[in-house]
Amino acid sequence: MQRSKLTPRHDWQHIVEQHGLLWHTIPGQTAVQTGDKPYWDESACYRFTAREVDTLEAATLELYRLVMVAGQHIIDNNLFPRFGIPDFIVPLIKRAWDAEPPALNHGRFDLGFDGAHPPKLFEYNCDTPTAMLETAVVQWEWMEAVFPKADQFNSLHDKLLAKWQNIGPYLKSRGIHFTHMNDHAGEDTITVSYLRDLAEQAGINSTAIFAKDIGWNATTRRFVDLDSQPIDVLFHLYPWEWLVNEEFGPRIVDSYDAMDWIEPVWKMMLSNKAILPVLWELFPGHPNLLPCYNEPRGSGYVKKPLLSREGANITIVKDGKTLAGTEGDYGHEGFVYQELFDLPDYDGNRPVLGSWIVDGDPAGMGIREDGLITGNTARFVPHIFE
Amino acid sequence: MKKFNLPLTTAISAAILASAGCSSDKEWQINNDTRLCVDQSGNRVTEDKCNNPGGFGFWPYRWYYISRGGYVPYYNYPATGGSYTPSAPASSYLPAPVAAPEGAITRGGFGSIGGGDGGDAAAGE
Repeated sequence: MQRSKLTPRHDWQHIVEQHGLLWHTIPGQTAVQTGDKPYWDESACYRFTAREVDTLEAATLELYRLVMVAGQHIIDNNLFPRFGIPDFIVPLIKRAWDAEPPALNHGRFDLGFDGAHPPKLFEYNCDTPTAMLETAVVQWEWMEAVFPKADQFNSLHDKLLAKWQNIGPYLKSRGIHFTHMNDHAGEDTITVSYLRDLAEQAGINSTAIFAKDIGWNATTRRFVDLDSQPIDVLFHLYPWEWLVNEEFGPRIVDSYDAMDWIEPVWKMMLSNKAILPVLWELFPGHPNLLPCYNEPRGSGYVKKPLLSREGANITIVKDGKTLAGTEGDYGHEGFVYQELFDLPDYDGNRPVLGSWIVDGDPAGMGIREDGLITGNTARFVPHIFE
Repeated sequence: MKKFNLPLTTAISAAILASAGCSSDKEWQINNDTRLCVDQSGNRVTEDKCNNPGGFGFWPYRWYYISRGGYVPYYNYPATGGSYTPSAPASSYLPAPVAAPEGAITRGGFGSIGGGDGGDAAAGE
């Protein structure tokens, strides 16, 4: 595993915009951050050997096995209070876990890896994973343009498309509504557009609707779209923990039998960081896990909220002292304490590997790099293997 | 060379770049002339703010009148399609329902935690 410096392509911004990556640049926001910085950063790339890719692929497969065992353990031992999951939604989680309703069942394992030791799991993002378009499409196009003879650990596009084709016949309707936030940067909007493109190629009709525009018909007890038509299948790039805790949350129970939800509600268990201590309890000493607890232990750990996003409300403690921390609105639901992993340091650039999986099949990798904490100003750096 | 066929992604990207995004603020259609309480920005607020103006001097809330067939926004969203001046006697305007009538459609029950429209936050992880 190496990091190589490169000269970005001329007009790279326009090139990646043509593939839909509008959020390629992070605007300078503070006096310290002078000027704009790239989010898509092709001034460098990571190079792997085929053997290292094999290691990452095997670890991804193994971690998927572990989280599925943990999911069953959570249900069997009724561990939902540890996850801050409201009681009213638990029966649906159990039903969905057993019934396995149609789903992409995709996710991204965020890993620490130095090329020499086994990859270590930081967290599993499987409810609303993003960095999808840049992983599946933009870095592949970059590789073909810049390293046409190289290869890339990347089959995400093909596997997502195949999964839409696979689940299409089992959905309650061939028309799916895709909901998301009307986000300023366009990241959620474009990520959903990408998934709509894949669904349409699989013969599924797609309609977009902002989360706030979803309606509730009190007479038919159905969620409806802007034309007041019932929603039969809803893909949501909008987290389950937000859905269930908002005003319409209880209506999910009322209308559950009439709809398919993609992703299914059981993802609330696996995407919650409370699963990390459960994994360590079940598989202590596993080479792909870091020790993790519900209370601080030792002198070096990372304190993480159960439900935070984009590196918010993280605190790093080393040798008993706070080394770094981020602010945010998370943490009311509690924290976990994961043993500190020293990310490899390439001149101050510290990579976190996002290893994708689609229904149990490893599907590629995207790398974001930042400082000690990978937050919402991290850069996406492409990779190849040779 | 792998070919990516992404017409929606391309089209919506172009639309966003051209700032052509749009959204709906409608909640439900009304069958009677209706009055709403709005704040200085024209966003709907609870009626008690107009029913019980506080103290003397400037009060930032006032009535907004919507004719039959118009749309009532949900709270904190802008009122449109009406007027601050009633086109019929003000007493003939009914208060806006707090919730949609039975059989009507309510909106806005999702999307609040995410921060509403056009925010910097994203729901992805």
